[in-house]
Amino acid sequence: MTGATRHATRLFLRAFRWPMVIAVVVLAPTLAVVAGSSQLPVCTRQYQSCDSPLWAYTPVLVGVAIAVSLAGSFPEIDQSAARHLGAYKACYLITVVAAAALAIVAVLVAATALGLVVSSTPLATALVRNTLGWVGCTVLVARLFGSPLSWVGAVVATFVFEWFGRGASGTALGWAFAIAATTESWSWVVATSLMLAAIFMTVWGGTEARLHFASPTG
Amino acid sequence: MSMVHVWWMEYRRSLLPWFALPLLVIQVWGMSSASSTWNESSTSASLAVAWPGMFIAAILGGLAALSGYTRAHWGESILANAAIPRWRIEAALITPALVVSILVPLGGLLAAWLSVPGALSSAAKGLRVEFALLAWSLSLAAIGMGHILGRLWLSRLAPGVAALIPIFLAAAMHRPDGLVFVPLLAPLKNVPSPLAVGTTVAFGLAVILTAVIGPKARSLPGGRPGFHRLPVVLGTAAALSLMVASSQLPLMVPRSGEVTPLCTVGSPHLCTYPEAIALLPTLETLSTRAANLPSELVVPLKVLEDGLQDPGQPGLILLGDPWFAAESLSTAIVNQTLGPCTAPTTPSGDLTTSWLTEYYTLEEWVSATIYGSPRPETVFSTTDPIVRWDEVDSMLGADATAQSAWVQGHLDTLRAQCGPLTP
Repeated sequence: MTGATRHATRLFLRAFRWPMVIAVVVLAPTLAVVAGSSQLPVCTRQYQSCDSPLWAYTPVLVGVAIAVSLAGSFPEIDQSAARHLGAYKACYLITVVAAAALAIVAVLVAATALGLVVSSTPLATALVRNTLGWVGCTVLVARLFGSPLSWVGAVVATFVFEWFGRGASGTALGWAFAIAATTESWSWVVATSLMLAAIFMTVWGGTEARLHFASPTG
Repeated sequence: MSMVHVWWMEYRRSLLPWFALPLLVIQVWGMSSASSTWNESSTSASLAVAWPGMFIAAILGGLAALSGYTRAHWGESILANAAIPRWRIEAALITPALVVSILVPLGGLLAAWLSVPGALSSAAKGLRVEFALLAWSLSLAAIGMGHILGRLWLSRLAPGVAALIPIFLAAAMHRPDGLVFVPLLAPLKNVPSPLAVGTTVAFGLAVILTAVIGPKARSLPGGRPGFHRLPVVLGTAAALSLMVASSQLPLMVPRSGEVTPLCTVGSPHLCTYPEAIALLPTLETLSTRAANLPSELVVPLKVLEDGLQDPGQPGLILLGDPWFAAESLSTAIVNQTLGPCTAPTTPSGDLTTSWLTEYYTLEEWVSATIYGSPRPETVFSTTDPIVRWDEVDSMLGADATAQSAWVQGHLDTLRAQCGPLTP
């Protein structure tokens, strides 16, 4: 690594908005506990079982925070040293996702100790899987359309999962990773694939797309 | 510079027009694929327009925040130096999102109007725009909150958070009879209350108004936009009051006026509201099967849809899958056959499980016979655990004599255990 690249990397790492990311990583599982048994209002078929717990979507926040964080504050540095920074960004991405998994375990252990959650293992497993999937989804969209639009992918994916990700009995299908049972192996395949695709795009995808639509009027 | 010119300028520069078509796809695709019976009546088709509203509001809210954020972060509009009042600049920024928020449900209403059966008279085909207005209120609130958030919080995280707000709002805000913004069911016996709908729309407009009049011009070129405290406090108070009022008012109220029911030709005559004409062929089939039930069962001559019948009489429930019609007809038949016999209670006051098992097993078989097949996999019931499914399944394929004997046996058991008559 040349001196200039090292300097650029240091600048970039400094601009990763660590406090915000850490706060969101802890906030997301906390919100999942607070959401409890609250449901998304999407079950339009009377007397059908189509549980859509809100907690399944709280990891979207982690995904958006990481996508925003990866963009950095200095797009010029990012653009001038994309090849060198890609691997570092991927390391950062993996580290934050691992931290998010740890935060999930820690928050749920605390919630169980406080009596807020009866059995933390199934919830923790589902949240870890959903974190993988949602981070992958949002980071991918951020690479394609820019980090300020990373959340759009999550909203559209939620619509697709809720509308088309259920079988005749209302049970979630495996590919709809956010709402599928953790025993569905396809849900893990989809979530992990999204994460791997995000890592791939981070390392080799070049610089993030930038929005040009919103320049000041006049 | 005219206001229309300012609006048009902002609209062309906005990202929102690019999202209009995808949002229209979500609207039409979402409303038509959420339920296979979404367009069986003009009311159900109107209701379906509201179903994808949560996702549309989420995207509009996020984009409004993005618009506010980019304007606040990357520099002010040149309009700020053109002696144009601040509220008009803010209104111009919000306009693209508002235009899309109106166009998308209008497209949904058009799709609904085109989809409801052509056999309906123009009066019966009239759509109920109230449901679309409820979903639009959520979009208004999302746009207003998104704009304020984008103006206040100079972070790329703001659009994502703004997109989550309407989702949590839609899930959390309840009325006494359901959700505030996304009603999931609308029986034909009820109509939306203008007061409840008006209050909810007023809530959305209050949020928009606060977002328009709240922001102040920046005192420094790179500074954070300030807010006029009094309008923001008043606007927030008004919005919160209307939000609380919305959550207290029931959405659906009994419909008034005389209704001439539409009935099947065959006996028992199954009757429904005129706008549910598309259901008549199904009802004719159910009526024929009900007429062929074992003679031990007393089939009423006429069963009206819930809301059309006299108070206290069991009514026909026509919601979604025809199973519900078959099941409600089955309840009317079994109850009429049993007469004044009611469930006995245990000394502690609980209903006797053995009686309920007999009752619901018989009712399940009658429902399945009227429906023409066992209960579809997509429908579940709270009585599932106590029904003797093996008996139901074996009797569905049995001959008429065995069925008659089985029905008589159940009726005898039920009558032998009748509880005290309720006064």
